[in-house]
Amino acid sequence: MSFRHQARLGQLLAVTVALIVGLTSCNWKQFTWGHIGYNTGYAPKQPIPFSHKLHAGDNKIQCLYCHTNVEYAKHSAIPSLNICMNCHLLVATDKPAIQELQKKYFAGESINWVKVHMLPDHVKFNHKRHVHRFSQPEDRYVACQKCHGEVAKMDVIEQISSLSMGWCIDCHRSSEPKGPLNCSTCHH
Amino acid sequence: MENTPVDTPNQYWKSLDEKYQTPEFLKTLENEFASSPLKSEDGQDGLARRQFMKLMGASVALSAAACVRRPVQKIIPYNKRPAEIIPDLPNYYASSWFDGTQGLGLVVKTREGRPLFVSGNAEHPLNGRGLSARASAHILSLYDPDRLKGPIFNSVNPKKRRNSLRADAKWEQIDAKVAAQLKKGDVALLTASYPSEHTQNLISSFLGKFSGKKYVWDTMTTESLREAQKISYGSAVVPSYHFDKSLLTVSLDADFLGTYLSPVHFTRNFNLSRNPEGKKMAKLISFHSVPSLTALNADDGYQVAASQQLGLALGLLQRVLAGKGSGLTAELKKFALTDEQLGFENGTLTTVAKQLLENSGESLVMAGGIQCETANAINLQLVVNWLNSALGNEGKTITAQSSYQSLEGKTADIFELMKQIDDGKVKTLIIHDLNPVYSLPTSLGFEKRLDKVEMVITTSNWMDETSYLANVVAPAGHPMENWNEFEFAKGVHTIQQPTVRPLGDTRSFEDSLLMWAQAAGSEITPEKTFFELLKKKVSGTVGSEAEWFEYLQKGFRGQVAEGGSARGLSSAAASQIQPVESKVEGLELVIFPTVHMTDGSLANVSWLQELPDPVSKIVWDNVLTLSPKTAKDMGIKDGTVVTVEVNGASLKVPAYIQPGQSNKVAGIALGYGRQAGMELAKNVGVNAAQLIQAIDGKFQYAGQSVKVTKTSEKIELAITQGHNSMEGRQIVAESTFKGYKDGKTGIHRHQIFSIWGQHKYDGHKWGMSIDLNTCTGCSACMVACQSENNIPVVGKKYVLQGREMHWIRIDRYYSGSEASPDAVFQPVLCQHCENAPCETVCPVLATVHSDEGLNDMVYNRCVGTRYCSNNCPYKVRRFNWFYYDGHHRKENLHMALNPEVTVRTRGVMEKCTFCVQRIKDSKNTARDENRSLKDGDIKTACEEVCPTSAITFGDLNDKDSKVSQMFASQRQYTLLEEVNAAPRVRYMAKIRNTDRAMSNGHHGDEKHAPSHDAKDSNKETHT
Repeated sequence: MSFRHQARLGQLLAVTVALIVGLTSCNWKQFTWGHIGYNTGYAPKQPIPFSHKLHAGDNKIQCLYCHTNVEYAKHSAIPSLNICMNCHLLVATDKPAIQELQKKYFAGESINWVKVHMLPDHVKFNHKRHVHRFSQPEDRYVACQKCHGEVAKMDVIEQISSLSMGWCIDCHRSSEPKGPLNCSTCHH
Repeated sequence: MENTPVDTPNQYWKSLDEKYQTPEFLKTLENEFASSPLKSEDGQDGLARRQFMKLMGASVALSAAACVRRPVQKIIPYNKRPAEIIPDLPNYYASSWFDGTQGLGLVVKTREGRPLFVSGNAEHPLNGRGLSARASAHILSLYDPDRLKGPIFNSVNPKKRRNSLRADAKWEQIDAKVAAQLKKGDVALLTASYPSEHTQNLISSFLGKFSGKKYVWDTMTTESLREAQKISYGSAVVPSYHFDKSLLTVSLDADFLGTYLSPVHFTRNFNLSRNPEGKKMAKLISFHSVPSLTALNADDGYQVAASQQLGLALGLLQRVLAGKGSGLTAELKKFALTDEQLGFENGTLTTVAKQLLENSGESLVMAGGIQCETANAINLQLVVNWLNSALGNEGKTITAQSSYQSLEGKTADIFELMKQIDDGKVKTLIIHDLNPVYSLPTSLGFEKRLDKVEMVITTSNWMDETSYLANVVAPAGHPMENWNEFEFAKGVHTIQQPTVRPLGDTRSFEDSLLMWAQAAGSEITPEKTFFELLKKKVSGTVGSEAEWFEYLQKGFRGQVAEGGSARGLSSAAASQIQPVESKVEGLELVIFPTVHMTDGSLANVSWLQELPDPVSKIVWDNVLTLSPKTAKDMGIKDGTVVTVEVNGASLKVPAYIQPGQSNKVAGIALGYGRQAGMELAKNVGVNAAQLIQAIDGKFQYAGQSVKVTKTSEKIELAITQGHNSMEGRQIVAESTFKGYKDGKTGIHRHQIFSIWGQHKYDGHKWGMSIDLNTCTGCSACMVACQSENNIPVVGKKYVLQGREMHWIRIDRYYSGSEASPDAVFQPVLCQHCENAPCETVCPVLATVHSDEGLNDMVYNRCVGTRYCSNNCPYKVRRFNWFYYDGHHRKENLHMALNPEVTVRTRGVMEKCTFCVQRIKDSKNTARDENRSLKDGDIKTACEEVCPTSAITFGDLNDKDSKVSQMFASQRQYTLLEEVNAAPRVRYMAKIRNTDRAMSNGHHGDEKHAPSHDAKDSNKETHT
């Protein structure tokens, strides 16, 4: 077989592999053109099946009770284990997941949560600024939900917004007062 | 990393990638031309890869629609979050750092428990907010991948020591072994000067327990100075110098702005007396053998050989005394040199002496540093003392108050130690804070004597030249990991707080002493750790627990003593001056320290290796500097390899032609040529310490006869500045003090107009002013910028191709004759032009104008056409030709990265952003505090560490801001005004306090054509 034939065969193989990989790994339900690559609907399995619905919805725990940093820093930050233990020293200690959590806590270890809302390294987002902006009286109760969706109804946390640049800019353009639109606002 | 110093050949390398054999490098070997990202004959491999990418693109598009995301990242929260840490909010700690002779008060910025950036402690009485390049860079040595991770035990059999029978050990094992050895007594401790009374007390108690003796030696010696002070004034101190009170400073080869004693403090003070707007402006006259930073900043510079220093000083003294109505003894007169003998213009010495006399009590004569360590080193200092006393400077510009009392190194100690070893009186040798095998010449035989000691212990953090020969390596950790308290200058106490938990299994020297004493059964104190001991002592002085914390917060206590009376010059001092006749024929050697390398202790810090030497602008190499005339006579060109021979010791080193150097001198820098433990610094340059001569119990660094022989080899030197001249354009403007008083600024202004509309700025309008008059070229800003902005290091190979990545560079221009040029330093960074030439040519809008006047660079948009760089008249844009960021990813080095700044990757253009992340931070703080930004809230990294505040950043829309006021000064000008890019950065013309006529680069104050003239010199056409 000549080199040319080999190459042709290789092409064919690659096309097949590409199709198989592409089609099988795709969740068609969430497929929308224009949102390719933005991970909308991303809801990975977490090491501990933490339910926002249970905590923030049913038990009405405030977002800021756990995400303490959001008012002070750029990251909202996943709560440190000692915050979980404020309740779970006593609450639901019969559940296997909670026992796992306690084990980790007392061993001085941590939990490797899977990151859901991810911005590339070249994008700098500041939670503090946005939370302060949205905590105007009329927005107070939608501050987090504006971008993160109805977290209180989610059993598994899921990315609702595309987090694309266009999505950011839309808001920066339409809100009143307008958000800054310089490139260096987010990229530096 | 392998720490074994294997002496295999072919260890040379040109770039960091090659050094670390990164996959990228290996790929470049087979794949790429250095200058083009793609091979011209794109091979089958490339084709196949592209085809594959095309096809897989479809697959990625499909799969990325929702469910699969790569890479999956993890978030790992704290187990218990420390109360003081909020992820991504920085904490600041006051601390300090002692660098050989210089002590600096620091503020260390940490994030999530790791130090990221150091700046000066603004209130500190010595350095203020200023820093040296080394201080900014020493943070990287904390993360040095070559730093030892724990103690190491070498074979005890002295004969087998060199077989590197090494084992990583546990501290308990080490302690047991050391304790057993200590019990035998006869302990010697070799250390450098260390200005901590707590450490010193501990050392004395420790040595007391084991009938030990302390030996102190400094690589940057101040011994002659102290000895002369003792003869002249009765006490052996390093006095404090008050440059702010001096109107005329005469430096006899003392590089006080660069390397001598406490350069940051001196630079800061020196600048205070150099305001050209005032009635008087201080003048600096330099007599130098090899141009130093001080020499290049001098208003008038003269070349002398090292052997002539004493004769010159005596010549000055003779004339000063004559002015006072007395004279020298006939014996000394014989040695006083005349203008003719020195090769000066007739009347030079008389003029200098006259000026000194005119400024009696307000002048300062200074000599010192290793460049002055000749046979006549003490005599020179005695004459300098005499001069200062005769001029009435003593007690005014030189005081014994706030002296640098802790500097106590003695050469005699080295000889005494060697004698004790020879006599078999040293069973245990502890070496701390020194690397004698590297810093002393082999001919001295110190290295061989280590074999005669039963146990050699070193506290080095690297498997360096000394560690390699020691039995026990007990790494003391980085200063940022340890507690201490220093008294840099008498009365000024500064705390050294650890800002990170030890990264490896290291233990401070003091803790080791405590542990060893305890293990040997002779406990020194009931306190278990040095910190407890320190806290108890210091709390005893500062008071309650609350006051202790207050002290920690402030970082220092005490002030530099003011006033004081003049010490009387001992009448016997004159008779102690016994000049030694110089026997030099032909060239003489001068070993000098450089601003970035000095003793070589930070040689493994890539930022410093790639920092262009402020004088020669050479990176990654040391050279033999020769004057243009000498080089021409010998037929030597830049990079010609020469053999340097001094009394049998010889080195092979490339030559470099250094304008402004004495024709009789060959100079070579210390601090290069590391052989072991430091992978990055290994074989970079040669170790000039091998040429140090031990004569009559003294080390002579200068004034020895040297034989320089040309070889046929040639090495290409990586010099970051190809041009030393301005090519007839006005890039730097300068004027004389007299001329300036007559309204001449040396600035040629152009009439310019633009057809473009103007940008509107409703909010802020950022601008920067750089004062060339106060910039000394110390290069601290370059390293600070590198630290703040994650700027990669590229290695010698790529610097040779002009691919260095510094966002701010310091150009050094010479003017005048080659033999004795004037120099101007000019920091150049992105000028953030109003009519930015880069913005108009970017095809993808990756560089755009912000509504605050910044020239934003958007890395993720950049496709790497490099049009912007091509179109930039200031050449400040830097392109990532390869994965230069790769070396950041190595082991701990990634921890030095600033998370606020994107790490750029291959194919992306980058440049100065005016530290936009700092602008944003300050804005955020102001908004949180419900106020508007104040002038001075935002300090760019370069501005923050500048010892002379030459850089000022601020809002031009705020008419009261400092930068607005500077923009209104008549000294301000823009770079290449005629191309009308309308830069946001403006320079302030340099004012030289000299009587000579200045040769100006451009047209000077002359006007070339009437039509081309500025009608209004301060007219601002575009902003």
